[in-house]
Amino acid sequence: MKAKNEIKNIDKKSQKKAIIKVRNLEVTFPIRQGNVIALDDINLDIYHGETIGIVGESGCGKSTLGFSLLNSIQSPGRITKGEIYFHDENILNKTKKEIQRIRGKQISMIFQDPMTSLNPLLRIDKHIIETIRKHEKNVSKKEALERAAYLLDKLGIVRNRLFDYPHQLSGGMRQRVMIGIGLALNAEVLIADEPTTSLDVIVEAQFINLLNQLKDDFGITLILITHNMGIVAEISDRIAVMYGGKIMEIGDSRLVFKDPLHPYTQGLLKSIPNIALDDNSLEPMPGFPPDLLNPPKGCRFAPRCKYATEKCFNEVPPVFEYRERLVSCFLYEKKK
Amino acid sequence: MESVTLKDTAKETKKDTLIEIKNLKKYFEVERDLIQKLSSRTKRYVKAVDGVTFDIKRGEVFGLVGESGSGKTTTGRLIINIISPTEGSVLFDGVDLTKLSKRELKHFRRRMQVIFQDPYASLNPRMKIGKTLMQPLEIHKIGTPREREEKALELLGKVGLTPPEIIFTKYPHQLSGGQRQRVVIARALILNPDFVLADEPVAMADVSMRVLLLELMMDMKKEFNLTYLFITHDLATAKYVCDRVAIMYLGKIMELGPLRDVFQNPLHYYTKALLAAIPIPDPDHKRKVDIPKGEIPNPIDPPAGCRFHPRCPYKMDICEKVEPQLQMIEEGHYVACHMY
Repeated sequence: MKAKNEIKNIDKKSQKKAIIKVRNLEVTFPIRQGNVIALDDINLDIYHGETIGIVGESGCGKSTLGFSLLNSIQSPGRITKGEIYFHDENILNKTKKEIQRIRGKQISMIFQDPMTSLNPLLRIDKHIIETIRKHEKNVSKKEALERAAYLLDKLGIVRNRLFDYPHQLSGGMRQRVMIGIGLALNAEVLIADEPTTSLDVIVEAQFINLLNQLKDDFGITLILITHNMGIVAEISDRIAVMYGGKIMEIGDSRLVFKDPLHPYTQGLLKSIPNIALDDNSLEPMPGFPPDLLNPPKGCRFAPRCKYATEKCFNEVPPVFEYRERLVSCFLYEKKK
Repeated sequence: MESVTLKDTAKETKKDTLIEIKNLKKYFEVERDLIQKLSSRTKRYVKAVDGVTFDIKRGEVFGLVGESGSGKTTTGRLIINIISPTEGSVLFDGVDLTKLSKRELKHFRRRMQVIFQDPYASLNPRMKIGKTLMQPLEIHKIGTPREREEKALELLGKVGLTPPEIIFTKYPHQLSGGQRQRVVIARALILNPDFVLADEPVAMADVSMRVLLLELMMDMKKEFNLTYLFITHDLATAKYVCDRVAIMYLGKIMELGPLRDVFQNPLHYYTKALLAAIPIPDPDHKRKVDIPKGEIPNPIDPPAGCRFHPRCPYKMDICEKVEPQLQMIEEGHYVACHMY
């Protein structure tokens, strides 16, 4: 059931095939005081086989974006505008049953806290076998068990740990089990929402090495949602920087780090501690993130931006193409 | 109190030392189930802190760094005597806190304050910010109500919560996380302490807030002549604030020294691995040290000998049998490893 008109990539120069295309997405959370626009006019392409890092501070909408891709925003939030294409089919038009088939089977998601994502009363093997048999009815229990053991072995967990309960595993192991469940159905896309936040540095580094290896072994498309710029730098091919429910800048990871265009990206990179650098200067970013109940009229970042002009306060900047990047800032309006 | 910034360990005298920790131990008993009790199996203990010795000098920021389960928070709590040690002593200005009665301790409590990680849990949700700030003064019977209010307003201004008069009448839920942590800092300072224990003070804050909070803490240190014990799992944060650091692993100090020496010339393999594991915000960065396999072991039965030996690539026979002691390798730079 292919859509007749293939949706064009946002970045017209890119020849790569986009597996997920997000167009004009808006997500609203109605609360007593009014409507919180958690995501506002999001446009994003995710290419096949790439790792894209979605970064931003808490409340910028990065997790909401992750949930939208599975059409599973928690009520009372809902998608109020826009389309999300997965293989050129709009998933927002699909029935609940169809969506469920995509979830897990084609797109799977892992979360920050592996303890709350696993059922404490179920052994690890049950988690994986159940997931496999739910989506692939003709697989026998024995086959499913073999697949589970193979996967966990790939993830560095020995076979007999399969018969443990979640509480018997360490945090790092639980997170690897979560990936195992995600990979059990050979999902094409893995969304990882802050996967290492609850892990210690050394375990975190082990986990990143593992993700890098999985990318090669399984050719998976990885969407990494995180606030940790270090992790993004280590693993992402491209980066989308979010602020106040909008995407500020999208581009190749090296370019974004070496030559950040958007003033927010610049500020963010200057305010993170870098242990590899000799100097000890950090530049704090003045001000606070915007109140999404009453967002600024123009650019969301304008009140904290040192380059802001009157125009920035009154008009929402469109997306400009500049130095192989898509950037939403008037500074790049006339530059080519 | 004079403020002395000390980096020169050679001139170290007792007068410069604010806190002396000697062979501090804390064992928590592991709860046994009924069968274990009936079968009269011996009690088992989690050795959260197992023989830690170090000094904190006046006016310095001493960093206690380690992964979760390393015993850094327990050490902090032992120092301010929220929990009492199984063994060892904590000398605050020459007085052993572990031997004091509750009443005597109250006097010292005034001089040491705490900033915790979670600004949501450390403020009473039913108490207005003003009341929260004035309460310590009331407990210690300092000043008249009018003076207490003035002091609270003054501190709110100092920690950057403006206008103080408005913040004074708010409840914690009306403030953002960053603002709440500022209130917690103000509350810690209202009694004019000498020493502040900061346990992961910025771990919950967003990156852009983190720098501001750290700057505030450093400004306050200057203004109030403070000494900090800064507990963190994040070496990158430690790098920006600490004068000296101690690296903890399973209840023991593995390495201790001036920040620069420890970070630029780490001696213990564990320190090297910890430093290498930190993700660097630079796509061109390549790791120089391999990441060790495995995770921090169970503190109920820590490995014999050196606690790190099961994960150490340089393990020798002696490491499995003899526990290495902290020894000085360079001026003020200590390491507990048999390789030295």
